Amino acid sequence: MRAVFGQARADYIGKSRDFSFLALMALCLFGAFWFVPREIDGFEIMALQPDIFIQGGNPSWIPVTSALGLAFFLPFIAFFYLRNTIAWDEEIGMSQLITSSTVGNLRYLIGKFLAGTLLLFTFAVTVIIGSFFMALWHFPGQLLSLYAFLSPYMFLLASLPLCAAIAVLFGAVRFLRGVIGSIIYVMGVFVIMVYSMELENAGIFLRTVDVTAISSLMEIISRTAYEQTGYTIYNVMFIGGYGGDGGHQPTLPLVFEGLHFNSTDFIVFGTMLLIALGIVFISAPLYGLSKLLPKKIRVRKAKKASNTEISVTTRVKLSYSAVSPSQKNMWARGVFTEMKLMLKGKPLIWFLGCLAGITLTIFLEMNMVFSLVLPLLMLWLVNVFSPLGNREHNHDMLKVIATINGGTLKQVVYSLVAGLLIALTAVLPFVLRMVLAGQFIGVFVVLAGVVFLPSFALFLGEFTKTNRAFEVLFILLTYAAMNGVPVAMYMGCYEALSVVQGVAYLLVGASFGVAAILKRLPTAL
Amino acid sequence: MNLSIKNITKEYGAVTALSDLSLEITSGGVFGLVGANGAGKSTLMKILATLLKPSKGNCLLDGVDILKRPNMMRQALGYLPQDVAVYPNLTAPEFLDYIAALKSINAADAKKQITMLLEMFNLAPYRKRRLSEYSGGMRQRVGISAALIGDPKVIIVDEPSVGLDPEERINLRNIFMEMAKTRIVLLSTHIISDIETTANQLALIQKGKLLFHGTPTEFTKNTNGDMEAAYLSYSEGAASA
Repeated sequence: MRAVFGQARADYIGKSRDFSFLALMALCLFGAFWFVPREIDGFEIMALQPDIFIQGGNPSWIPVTSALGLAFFLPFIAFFYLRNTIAWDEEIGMSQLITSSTVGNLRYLIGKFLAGTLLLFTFAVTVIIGSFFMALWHFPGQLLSLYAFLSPYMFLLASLPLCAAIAVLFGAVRFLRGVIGSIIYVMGVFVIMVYSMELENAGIFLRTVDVTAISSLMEIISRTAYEQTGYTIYNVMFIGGYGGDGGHQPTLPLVFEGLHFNSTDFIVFGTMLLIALGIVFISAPLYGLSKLLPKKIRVRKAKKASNTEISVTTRVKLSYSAVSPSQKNMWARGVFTEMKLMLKGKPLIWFLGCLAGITLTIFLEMNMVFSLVLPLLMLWLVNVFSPLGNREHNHDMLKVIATINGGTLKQVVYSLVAGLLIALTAVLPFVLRMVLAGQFIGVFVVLAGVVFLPSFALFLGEFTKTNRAFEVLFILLTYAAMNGVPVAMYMGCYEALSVVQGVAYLLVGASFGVAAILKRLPTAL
Repeated sequence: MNLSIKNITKEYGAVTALSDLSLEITSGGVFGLVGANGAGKSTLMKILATLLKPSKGNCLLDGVDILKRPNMMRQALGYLPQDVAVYPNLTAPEFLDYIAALKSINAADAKKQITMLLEMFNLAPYRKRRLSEYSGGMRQRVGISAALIGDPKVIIVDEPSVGLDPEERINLRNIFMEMAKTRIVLLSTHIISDIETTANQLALIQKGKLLFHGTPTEFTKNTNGDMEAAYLSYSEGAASA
């Protein structure tokens, strides 16, 4: 057992230290945020029997909607995030170590299964905590009981081992690791989702194999509604639009008071867990067989041979011409090289995401830009800003930079200015739009946010020597800002643009920047 | 140029890493600093590279105290630390350009010099690969290139030949010998053969104390030119004393 837990622990720690873990956690959190019952023009969220009950503005449905929201995408995240861990072990040679030890395939896969379940559990708990704060912020003083709040998540938590087990199976069988496996899984989940959305299909069989847990959630929502109102619910619309032209206008609120589980529900919980364990047990011999099959070797195209020859028997002629430091345009050059370093290695999809965000700031309504697009656009840039102040420490570069005349000071200032320029570039079209609209307070507040963001990253990076502090705090800040917590709105709120808030963030940002620079000063002198 | 190290002592709590060490290093030939692991070589290198301050003593570069005015040394310095530091997601030209920008070398000059350095260290064929894909020896060559960017008048290299294959070692020795004609080149190593054919002057340090300072011929006077035997003789002599 120690081998299993040790391996699960190592796997969990290894994965959780990746930026992808934090990014997925943020995705789950923000994904659940979208589905919280709110009054949004033209949309209704969580409408039961759509023309009768609507839950917009009803805080008691926050846990149900956030659990359902998570249920839609967690099985996909789980699969694609966890499936590659076994292939990765093979790539780095870890599987050879395990094969040559006494651990064995079954214990190895149980370790993977436990780590996967724990990772998914972490995602789910993050969403639960996030939803709790969302309820606090949006509906102060209208809290549910702890049981009522947690009960909708129970089915979701029960489906996590099944998700992890399927990822283990698809990762263990080499044939299922590629596109074919992805297609099989995605199609399978889609079919289950379609069936799950129909309340009359929610039988015990479907519920026990439903990795999404949607069927159980739908069934139990319907049951709860019936218990409280006497209405039989045939249809639940999770999110949908309604027009003013004769469309239905549901009016009745329905207070959710927690789920009442019955014996069938507990049978479903237990059976799901047994199925998950069964899948892991089946995966072990399949993994053993899979390892016996010849491995497909990808042959890389040979690099063109170099024409450069070095004479090693005679003294080389030193082709080294001296150059001297120049003072011309060095600031611009230094900042530009820092910007290149910050943007280096970002995939095309990342740049497209930035472009899409920037485009939305031009065309969407200003209040929507302030409340959603700007925070999400800045969040998209989190991994550009997060290495500020700590990259040099993490790569041990300061021992080189410190030996350059003024190196440490120049580097920290260049990187701060580069961060400011990147943030400014992202908001520039929106700033110009506000200038044209005469929204000068808005311009000031957004520019204060531009100063605050990289300075905050630099400050945390320099003092903690890690990028994790900024990533976590900035995600939380963005989450709070999107939920309308006034003090967290570092780029302001359209309905209440305030010079005071702009000045406050500008001063805080400037103080962070100066503090980070001062921290470097002793090494520069 | 002249680098004068006067009565340097470095203490870490109760541990003395360097004890009253004095040396004169001049341009015109490679200066080899030899000693076992933990002898205090890297501590001395760090002091000279302005990364550490000694507990006592001073260091003068052409008469200027670099401990009081470290930027005088930094303007002239090219430094290779023992563990080469790079940004792994950059290519070699990008990384060298980054260092060049911090050294305030304009883009055109930097480009020319980077091309030369990549050719000198046989890295040109790999210029499009990220440093994360480089072997240890290749990274070492990138680190040396970074030290040579600009026009350093003082080159301090700590164990530069680690991870290099024999051909590259010879190449590196030749480059340092050539550069040392007009510059101070201080090379620290625990591998005797690295300096056997390269150094004009050498110093042997053990437990933070200077055991020998002179030419290689003087060093091997009693061992018929055998460097390793001389090294062992000095080390054992110091141990028994």
